[in-house]
Amino acid sequence: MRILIYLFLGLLALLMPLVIRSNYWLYMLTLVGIYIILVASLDLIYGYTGLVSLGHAAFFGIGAYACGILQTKLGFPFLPALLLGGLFTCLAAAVLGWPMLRIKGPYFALGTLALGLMVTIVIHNWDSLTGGVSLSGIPLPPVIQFLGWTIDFSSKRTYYYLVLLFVFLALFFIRQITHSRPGRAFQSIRENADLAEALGVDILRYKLIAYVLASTMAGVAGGLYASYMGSIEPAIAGGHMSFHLLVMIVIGGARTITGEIVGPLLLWFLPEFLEAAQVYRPLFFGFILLVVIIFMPMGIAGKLRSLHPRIAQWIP
Amino acid sequence: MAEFLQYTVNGLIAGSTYGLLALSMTLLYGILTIPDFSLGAIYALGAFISFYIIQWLGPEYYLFSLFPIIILAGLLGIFSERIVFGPLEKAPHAAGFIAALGLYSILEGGWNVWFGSEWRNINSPYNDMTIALGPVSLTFQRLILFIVCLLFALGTFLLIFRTLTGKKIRAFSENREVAQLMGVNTRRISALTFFIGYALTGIGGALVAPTALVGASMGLTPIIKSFIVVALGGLGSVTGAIVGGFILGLGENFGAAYISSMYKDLFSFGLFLGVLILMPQGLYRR
Amino acid sequence: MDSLSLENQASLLTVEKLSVSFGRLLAVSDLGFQIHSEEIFGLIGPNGAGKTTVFNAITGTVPLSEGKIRFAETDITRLKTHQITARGLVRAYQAATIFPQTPVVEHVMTGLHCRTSTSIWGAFLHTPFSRKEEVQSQKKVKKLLEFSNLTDFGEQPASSLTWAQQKRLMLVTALATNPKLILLDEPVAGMNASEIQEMIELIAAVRKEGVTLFIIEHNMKVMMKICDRILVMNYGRKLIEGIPEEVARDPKVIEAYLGYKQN
Repeated sequence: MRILIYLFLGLLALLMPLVIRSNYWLYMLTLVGIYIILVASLDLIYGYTGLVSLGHAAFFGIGAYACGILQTKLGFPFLPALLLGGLFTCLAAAVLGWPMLRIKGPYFALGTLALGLMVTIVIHNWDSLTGGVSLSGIPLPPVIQFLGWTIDFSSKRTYYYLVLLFVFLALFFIRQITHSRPGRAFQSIRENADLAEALGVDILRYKLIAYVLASTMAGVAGGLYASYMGSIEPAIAGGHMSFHLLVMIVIGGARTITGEIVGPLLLWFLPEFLEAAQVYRPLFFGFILLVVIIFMPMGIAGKLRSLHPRIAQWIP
Repeated sequence: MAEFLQYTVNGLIAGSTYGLLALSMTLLYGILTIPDFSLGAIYALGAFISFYIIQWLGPEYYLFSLFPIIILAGLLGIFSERIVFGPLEKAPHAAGFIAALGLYSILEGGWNVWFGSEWRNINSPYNDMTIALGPVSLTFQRLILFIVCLLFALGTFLLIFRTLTGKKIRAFSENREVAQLMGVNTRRISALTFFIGYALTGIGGALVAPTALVGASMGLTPIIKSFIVVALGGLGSVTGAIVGGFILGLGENFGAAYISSMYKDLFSFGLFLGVLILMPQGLYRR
Repeated sequence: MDSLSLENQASLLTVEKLSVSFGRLLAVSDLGFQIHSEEIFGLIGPNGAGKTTVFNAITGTVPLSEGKIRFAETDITRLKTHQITARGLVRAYQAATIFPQTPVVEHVMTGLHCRTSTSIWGAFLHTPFSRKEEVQSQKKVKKLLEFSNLTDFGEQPASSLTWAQQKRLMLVTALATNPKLILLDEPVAGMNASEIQEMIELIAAVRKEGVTLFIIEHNMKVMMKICDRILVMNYGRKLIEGIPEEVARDPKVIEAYLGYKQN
C-alpha cells in the first residue's frame, strides 16, 4: 500500500520541474529538498532514538564548510569534496558524540546546544581557514559530458535533480534502517532505555550509531548547500537553524516519512504564502510549535494516522 | 596582582548575575522538571522595560523600573505556567522542553517585532560614575548590579529556607503528590514559583542592560550560561545555583584574561560540556 | 574441598559476600548464595529487605560495594547490563516495564536483538542474510507469542494490554533473549486468582524449556508452590535459606513477617 504512495510522491517530485518553470520556485524546492534530508536525519536521532538534539545544524555547518574549504582552498573537485566533507563530519560526530552521548536527561539537549554554539564560534573566529564572517566563491559542480548529454549544474533544474537524488537516497536509507533490527534497537532506546539495556541492547553504541549516521547525512546536505549557495556563513551551524529543524520534525510528525517531508514543506512555504515578513517568522514558528506540542504532539502525520487505521495505511 | 584582583572582582560581578539567573532556573526546575528556556526572553524583556522607563521618565528612574519589571515578568510567568506548561504536566519531559523552546521563540520574535531588531545601548546614570576600591576600579552600575543581585538572591534564599511558603515550594518540588496530600495548594505554589522565577530573571536583565548591548536575543547566551551554572550546582539546588554562578563568573573571567578573550564564550561552553561529561551530578547533590 | 567444588560445578549463579550501599545506607550486606541449573529459586523478605537491590546488583544496574558474582563460570561483577544479558542472564522488572507504543510483535522481537546480528549495512542493502534473519525472527516471535497466549494481541501497542498481560509480555520478551537464567521481579503482583494461575503455568512451562528462574515475590502461597528453594532476607542480610517447608516453619522468618499479612 505504502509502495504506491512512495511511487506517487517520487513521480511527483521527478515531474515537478517540468511543471514549474520558474527559477525562483525551483530554487525554493531545491532548498526544501536539502531541508528534507536534514529533517529526516534529525528524525533518526530525535524521533526514533529519542535524543533531543539542539545542535544538529552544527554538523550541517561542518559538512558545508568542509566541502566549501576543500573546494576553495584546496582545489578539490565537487564530488570528492562532498564525500570527504561527509566523511569529516562523520568523524567529527563520532569524536564529539562519544563523550556527549553519555550525558543524561535534559543536559544532553543543552550540551548539544552548547556544542552547536561552540562550532559557530570556532567557524566565526578561525577566519584564516573559514573566511570568518562568510566563506564565498564556492563553485558549482562542473559541467559533465555524459553519453552526448550535457549536465550543467548552473541550471536550477539540474541542481534540483541532484538534490532530489540525495533526498531519495536519504529517505530510502532511513526507511530501510528503521524497519529492521537496528531500527528496533533505536526505538527501544526511546521507549524505555532501561528495558532495552536489560534486553541486551548496547544503548551507548546504538545511540552513537544513530548520532553518527544522522550527522553524516547532515554533513552531506551541508556540502550540497554550500555548492548551491556559493557562499555560507557561521550561522548555518547555529542554534536558530537547529531549532528550525526541530520545529519541522515536531510539526511534521516524528517517525514518519510523511512528517519528514511535510515539516520542511509546510514551514518553508507557509510563511511564503502568508506573505509574512521575515521578522514575524520566529513568532509564527514558536506559536505553531506550542500549539502542536500541546494539542497534537504526534505532529501532522501522526494526527492523520490516528484518525483511522485505514488512513494510517496510507501515511508512510 | 592588581590585575588578578580586577579579574576576581569582574568574575564576582558576572557571577552574581549568573547566580541570579540560575536561581530562577532552578526554582522553575523544581516545578517543571525541565529547564525553562523561555527565561532567556524574560531576561531581554527586563532590559527593554528599563530602557523604556528611562526613555519616558528619565534616567533617574532606572532603579524604579525594577518594580514594573517584577510585576510584568511575574505575571508573564503565571501566564506561561497556566497556558503553556500546565497542560503539559502529564506529557513526557521532551514535550515540556520543546514547549519552552517554542515559548522562547515566540517571545524573542515578539520583542523583535515590538522593540525592533537593532541592538542598543542603555545609559543609566550609574554608568558614568566609577569607584575605586584599592587597585580595582568598577563603575557604580556594576557595583549596584552586584549588590542588588546578591540582595535578591539572599532574599530568595531566605524565602525558600526560612518561610512556610518556601517550605511548601520545596515540598512541592521534592514530591508533588505527597505535598498535595499534606494540603499544599499546588496551583498556587506553582504560580508563585513562576512569578518569582520570572521576576528574578527580568531583574537580572534590567541590571545587566546598562553594561551590555540590549537586543531581543540578548538572553540567549546568558540563559545557556545559567544552564551551565545549574549543571555545576545541580538542578534543583538553590545553594548550588548561587555558588555555581560565582564559579562560572570567575572561571570565565580568568579564562578570558589568561587564555584568550575572543574565545571567552567558547571556554564557558567547553567547561559546561566538561562538567556534564565528567560529573553528571554536578558539584552539589539535591 | 571436593563437595564444595562439586556444588560449584552445578551452580549456575554464585553470589559471594555481596554488599551494596547507597551513600550511608547499607541496602545489602554480606549476602552469599548459589542457584543451581534448572531450579526455581525464590527470594522473599519484608519490604525494604533489599531484594530488588540484589537483582540490581546482579544485572549491573547498581554498583557493588563489595562481593563477587559468578554466572556460568564467568565473573560478571564488572560487566554492563547488556553484556550480562548476552551471556544468558536476563531480568524482568517489577513494574510493567514495557515499550508502551511498540506493537507486541516488535516488543518480543526486541528481545531477539542480542541473538541476531543484522547490521546497518545489512539493513540498508537488504542483504539475503538480513532477510533470512528477519524471517527467522518472525517465526521465533510467533512461537513465543503462542507459548505465552498473546498471539491475539500481536499488532496492538504494549500499553493497551492489561497489567497481567503486560507481565506475561515482559516474561516472554525476556525469554526471547534465549537466557539460561531469568530474574523475575514480583511476577504475580497485582493479579487476580485466575491471572496468577496463568502466570504460574507460564513459569512452569518456561522451566520445562530448561531455563532457571530466580524469583522475588511477596505472595507466599505462590512461592511455596513453585519454588524449589527459598532464600529469606531481612534488613539487607540473609536470614535463612532452604526448601519451602523448612523456611515456612522457621521461627526467625515468622518473626520477621509478624503482623505482615500474606494471602
